[in-house]
Amino acid sequence: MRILIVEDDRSVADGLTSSLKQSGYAVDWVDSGEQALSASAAEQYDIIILDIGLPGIDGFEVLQRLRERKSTASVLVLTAYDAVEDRVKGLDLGADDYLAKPFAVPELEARIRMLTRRSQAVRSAEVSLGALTLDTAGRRARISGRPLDLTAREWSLLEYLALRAGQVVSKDRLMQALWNWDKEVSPNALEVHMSRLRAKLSDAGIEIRTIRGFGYLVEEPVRAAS
Amino acid sequence: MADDGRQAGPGAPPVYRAPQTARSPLLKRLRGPVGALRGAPGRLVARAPKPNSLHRRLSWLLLGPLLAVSALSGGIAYFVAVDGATRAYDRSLLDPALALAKYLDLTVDPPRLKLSQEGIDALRIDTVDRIVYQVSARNGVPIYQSGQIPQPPPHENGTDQVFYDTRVGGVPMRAVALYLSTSRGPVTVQVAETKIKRRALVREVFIGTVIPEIIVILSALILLWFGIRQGLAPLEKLRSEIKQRSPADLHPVPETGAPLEVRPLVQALNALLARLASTLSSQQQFIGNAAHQLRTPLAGLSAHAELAARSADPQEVRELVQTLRAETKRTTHLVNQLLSLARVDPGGAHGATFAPVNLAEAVDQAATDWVRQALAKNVDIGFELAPAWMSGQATLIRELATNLVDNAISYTPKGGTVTVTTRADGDYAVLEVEDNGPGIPEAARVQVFERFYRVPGTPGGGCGLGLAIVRDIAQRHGGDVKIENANGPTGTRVRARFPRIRVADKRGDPESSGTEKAA
Repeated sequence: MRILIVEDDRSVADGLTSSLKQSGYAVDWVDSGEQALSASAAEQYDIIILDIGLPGIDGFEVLQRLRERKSTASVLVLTAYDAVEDRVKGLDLGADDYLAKPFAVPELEARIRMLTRRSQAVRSAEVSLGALTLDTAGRRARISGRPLDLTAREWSLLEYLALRAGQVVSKDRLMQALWNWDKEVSPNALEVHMSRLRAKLSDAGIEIRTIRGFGYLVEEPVRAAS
Repeated sequence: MADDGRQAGPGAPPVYRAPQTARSPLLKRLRGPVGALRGAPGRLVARAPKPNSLHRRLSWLLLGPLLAVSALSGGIAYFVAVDGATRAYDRSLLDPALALAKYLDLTVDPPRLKLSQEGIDALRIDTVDRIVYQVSARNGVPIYQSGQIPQPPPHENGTDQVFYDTRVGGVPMRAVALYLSTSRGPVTVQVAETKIKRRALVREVFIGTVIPEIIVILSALILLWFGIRQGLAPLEKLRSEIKQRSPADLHPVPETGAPLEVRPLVQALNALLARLASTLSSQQQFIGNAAHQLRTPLAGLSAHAELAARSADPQEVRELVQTLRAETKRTTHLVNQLLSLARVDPGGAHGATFAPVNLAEAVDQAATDWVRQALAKNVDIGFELAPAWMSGQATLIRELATNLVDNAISYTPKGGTVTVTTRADGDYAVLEVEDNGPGIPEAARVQVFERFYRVPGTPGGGCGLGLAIVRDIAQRHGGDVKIENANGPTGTRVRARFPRIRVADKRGDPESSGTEKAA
């Protein structure tokens, strides 16, 4: 996983680079928009962490140019704490995610993992979560190589949740995204599907937690290091 | 799990909201208080419009009418004098005409003047003006004349005397025409004189009236100018008094010397100064507090870092670094809380606009964070979210909710339960956070809202600002916060209430007001 950090504050960039390198990513750092554009032209990055407040060309412009170039990198913008407009603008211009400064490094890493999973899914049509692998093109899942028998609805559920592993997904969003309030799938029915799915996943060590009154959370499998 | 009746949001893409309780390992500058301080003095210096002078205004208001009245009175005096003089001279012009008429024998035709030339000349004596006479018969043909006097302008039949202005031989003259009726038709006796006397009189009157008027007006002008200046002196005094003050001097301006009309102004000024002084002092107090609060953890950090630098034992170093990590986290948390507080502080930055906020949605967006925090501590966090609309700033509301949830999770032991509820309740939009921890003793329920106050004996690394922030945000939104006992045997329920606003449901259904029962 190649990551490009675009950040003009040296100490922030330093800390971030070290932490990410420790977690096993290949990290490059530039401190201006111009350099970001030339670096991303030279190398193919998977993820670009882009600070909005840059000297010279600001983050938004970099974002725009990246999109014009049809860059396939996932972009995560770093915005100031109370700049809500920046967030919206960033997402409108094509950022994949945002994070407000100051942020905690573990939070950033969780977002990066999610972006990674997404881009992997797009690129290789494959998502992996511990021992679980999903083939999003063929709509099939495997646990440690062994194929998993899933109904269509169970597959949709699993795919949706897996792509959002580490995030709490509200039931409403889930229902709307998957079945658009299809009359056939009542919240109770959802719960039934969910428990069946859980049973099938028990071997993979993947846990789908129920958050009372809210929704579900697929926990990312515990990482061995750090 | 039962349907909890929450409205679905519009089909927004699943965006990940930044966690409000982020603990940054890297400290930032305290932007908030500095920004707030910079704002206040700017508001005091109002931008001056085009200069509008009281002096000038008063001058015009007083002088204008004075000038007009003087001019009017001068004008009237002038014309009355001139008119009177004219009449007087006219009457004396009548004498020669009457005398001529007396010596006219009207029994003959044409009438005969029974005066010798010396007699006629005697009638024409005037020290200043030249007198001309003319007697005409009924057909208008002059019988006797010393000059050609034109006929008078048309007049009524009944009159026998007409005074008029005319020209004789090109020279402007004042004339009188006497009409004498005879059996053979009217005979006209005309006498005209030059206007030298009259003109002289007019000149005298003019000098006698207008010149004094001008002198009076000029004097009035000068006296008025000085008078107004003197009159406005108290204002000038006030002005220089304020001007002399140093920027930091916010003491009230003395009212005693000020005239009655100016007092309300001085009072208003003093009220403003008092507000300013209070704001500034509360800001200074805040900064003082913040600096003080930061000193202790920073001292600890410094000490531990020092130890770690000197230690040769890797195990010891590792332990010290762990301690440093924890302390850094706590200090970062403190700084973030201070920033939040500064933002909501009455002396802090204003200007953000309010928009309709659905409490359920605000909670929704921060939920992931809280869940992760709760899971780390094995606390069961649950939600009961019903739509509840109020008017406010979504970021601040999330901040409020996060602080409440933070507290609940921190002060609930492992395995405990926290429930977050939003609902519309009559005129209020309500947000509640309930836990089953040890609870807050009744005696402390007022004090806990104070800054930096922590219930004695509470474990954990909190900084005592959470509830202060919650209260400030609630007040900013016109709401309030109350602490109550939870439903169970132990625990706390904190309820934040806001004035509710009515919002049509996006799908057109009327807003549901009840809460559904959770499973």
